[in-house]
Amino acid sequence: MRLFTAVRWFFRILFKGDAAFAELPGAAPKPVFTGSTEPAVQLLGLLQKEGRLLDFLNEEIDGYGDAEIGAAVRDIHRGCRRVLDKHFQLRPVLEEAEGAAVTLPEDFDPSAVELYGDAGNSGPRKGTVRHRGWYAEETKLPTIPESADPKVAAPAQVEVAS
Amino acid sequence: MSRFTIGIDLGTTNTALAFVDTEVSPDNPEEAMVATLPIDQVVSAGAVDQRPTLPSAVYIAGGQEVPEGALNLPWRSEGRVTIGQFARELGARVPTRYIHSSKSWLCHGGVDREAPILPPNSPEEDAKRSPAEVAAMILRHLAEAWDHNLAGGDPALALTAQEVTLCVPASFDAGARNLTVAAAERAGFKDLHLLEEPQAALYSWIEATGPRWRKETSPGDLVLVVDVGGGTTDFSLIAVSEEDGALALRRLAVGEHILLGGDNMDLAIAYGLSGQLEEERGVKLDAWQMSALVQQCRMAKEELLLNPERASYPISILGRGSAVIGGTIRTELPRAGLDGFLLEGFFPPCGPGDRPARPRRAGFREAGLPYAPDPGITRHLARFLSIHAEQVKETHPDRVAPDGGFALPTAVVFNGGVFKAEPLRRRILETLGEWGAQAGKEAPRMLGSIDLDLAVARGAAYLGLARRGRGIRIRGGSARSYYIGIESAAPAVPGVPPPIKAMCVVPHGMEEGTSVDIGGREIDLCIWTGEPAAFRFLSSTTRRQDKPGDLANVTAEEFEEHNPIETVLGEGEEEGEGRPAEVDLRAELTEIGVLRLACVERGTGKEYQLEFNVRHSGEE
Repeated sequence: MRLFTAVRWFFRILFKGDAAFAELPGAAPKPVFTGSTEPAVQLLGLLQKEGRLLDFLNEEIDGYGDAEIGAAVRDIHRGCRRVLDKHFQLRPVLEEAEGAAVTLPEDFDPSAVELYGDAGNSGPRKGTVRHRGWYAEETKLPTIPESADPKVAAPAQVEVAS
Repeated sequence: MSRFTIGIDLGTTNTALAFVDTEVSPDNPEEAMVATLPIDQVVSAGAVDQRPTLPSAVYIAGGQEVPEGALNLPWRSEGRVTIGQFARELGARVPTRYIHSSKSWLCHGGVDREAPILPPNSPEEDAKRSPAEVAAMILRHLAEAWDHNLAGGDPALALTAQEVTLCVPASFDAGARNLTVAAAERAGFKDLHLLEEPQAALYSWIEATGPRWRKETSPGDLVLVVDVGGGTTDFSLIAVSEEDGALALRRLAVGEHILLGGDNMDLAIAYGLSGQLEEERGVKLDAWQMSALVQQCRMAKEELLLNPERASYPISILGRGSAVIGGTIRTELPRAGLDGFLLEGFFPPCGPGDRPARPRRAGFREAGLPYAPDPGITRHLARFLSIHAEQVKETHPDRVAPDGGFALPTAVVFNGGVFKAEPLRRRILETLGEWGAQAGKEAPRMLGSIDLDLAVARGAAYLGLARRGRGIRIRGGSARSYYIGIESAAPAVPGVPPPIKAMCVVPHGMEEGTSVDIGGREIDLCIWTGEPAAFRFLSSTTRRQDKPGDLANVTAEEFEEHNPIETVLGEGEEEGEGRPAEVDLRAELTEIGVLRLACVERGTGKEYQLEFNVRHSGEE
């Protein structure tokens, strides 16, 4: 019997993680952490929060000089970069340097490599890397509170008068 | 004995936890594996992540400002209180519900440290907590995070069941140390020890260097630890000697409590810049922009100090509304400006005879923290090395200037995040080198490198092993001598308080785990039973000659007065029916590292604990 219980719990924990413990009789249920149902909006939110990207893209910039834009972009760049570093593990699709010669196998993945120039129709292809591409090895978006509205990309800010 | 030995650095700005698993550690403690616990904490609404340290920041939600479930922890639901990264973010938005730097308040004798006074000047009564309670809250969070990750439900592996070494500034007085222990006990810790942070830094160096450390030091070395944390600056001198053929370490002296740290530096730069902005362009920053500026100044400071070739660091504070470019305030922190703010402001070149400016005596004092009035860390260092010269002379006569004016270390250990910046380390080493040249001594060397963010916790975890006889221990005993004030018999003069004499109750260097009785005919202490008896309570970091029972004249130079200590004799006896009782005193420095003082009634031998009064004495 003990063995059976152990095996059953083993699989429960394996498949449900900590949520399995929520089924323990008597134990207070542990909070469940869930991802956003609108991950695209969540990403916009992260870029806005750290780098003010939505504000920037929605601002009319024609009236400003390059120096003014440049100054603001430094901070925006820093912030958005933080989001990339924190939530994505990015690597180039091709390890070869730009300008280096590369030979593509016959069964290359056309979604990972775009061909320019003479595409040919079969056999290994020789070419030059013009852009190494980006591959999101891992995406790790933060969880959000269950009660939060997933469509809010950035909350309004109100300074409350005391 | 617990399976793990734990070291906790309960810092002013960041908290860290390190541990040694004694079951996997090899028998050679100098190869002990000290690991740090990545600490689970809420990092954004509804998201928990592990970080190497836990910001010592607490936010107490009013109820509606965060979505439901935003503060949940993996191990329990939480609706109100969050500690760590997200607390800091919320605090920037709602400062009246945000508690930070509570440790600086823990040693502030001018306030009631067990009363809910933080955040100071906040109208939100429900968000207020006492400095002692905040320490307990942070420790409880650590315990929960540990248990969740490592205990697996086994009570024997719970953090509170392990042997824990908790670090405090060397300059913490007995009252602040006792409060820290009380807070940890309230958080459920049972097997506790206190350790001075600069000592922990040296232990960490020993742990990081491994067995090689014995080759890098030699008898006769005098090690200075310069520990500039987020909130405090702490100095210690540790002597290396040879005893029975082995190296021995003894902590000779610790500095006074200097409330000055990395946070002050970021603020100094930010206020300097915002002042410039206002003066030159008439731009006035609001509180939110100011906190953004402080963050950027911290980044600018780190960047410029780490990259000596950079001439300036651009600072832009983005506009408040949705106009990012239109509202952006641009400026830059030039290298000359940083040098001015930091190197000249906090680490000014100075001579060994320079002294920090004395505090101004003002009639009113703001109910804030008693920050050091002089930000010159090098001047505080000059004072420290000078007032302990005589003591150093006894064991290291060759390390004292010919005129006896100041002591010179042979080696320096740096601790604290600000020393990631090489120019700041260099400034200290160069200053000491110059002082050495004046005294005809060689310049001190820097001892290795340690992880400046985690060293204190790591060193404390390492000491846990040493305490089990598996590693070297620094000896030292009480860094301060303690006194009770006794009014001397003098004719009353209106307007002049009767002069007091200080009677030594704890001698300098008194070892942990020992006690001393002060009594006999020479000391005639008599108190009335049934009513509170209070003694004035003083300490000194410089008077080492006093033996228990000795009387000394009180001078502002040598003594620091704390809140009074008090007791009630003859509990239960009706007031007004009191009788005079002759008492002796007993002082005990416990294994944990806390001081216990008691009155012992001569006739009955009954002991009455003298309580450290944490309340504001009202007669500052």
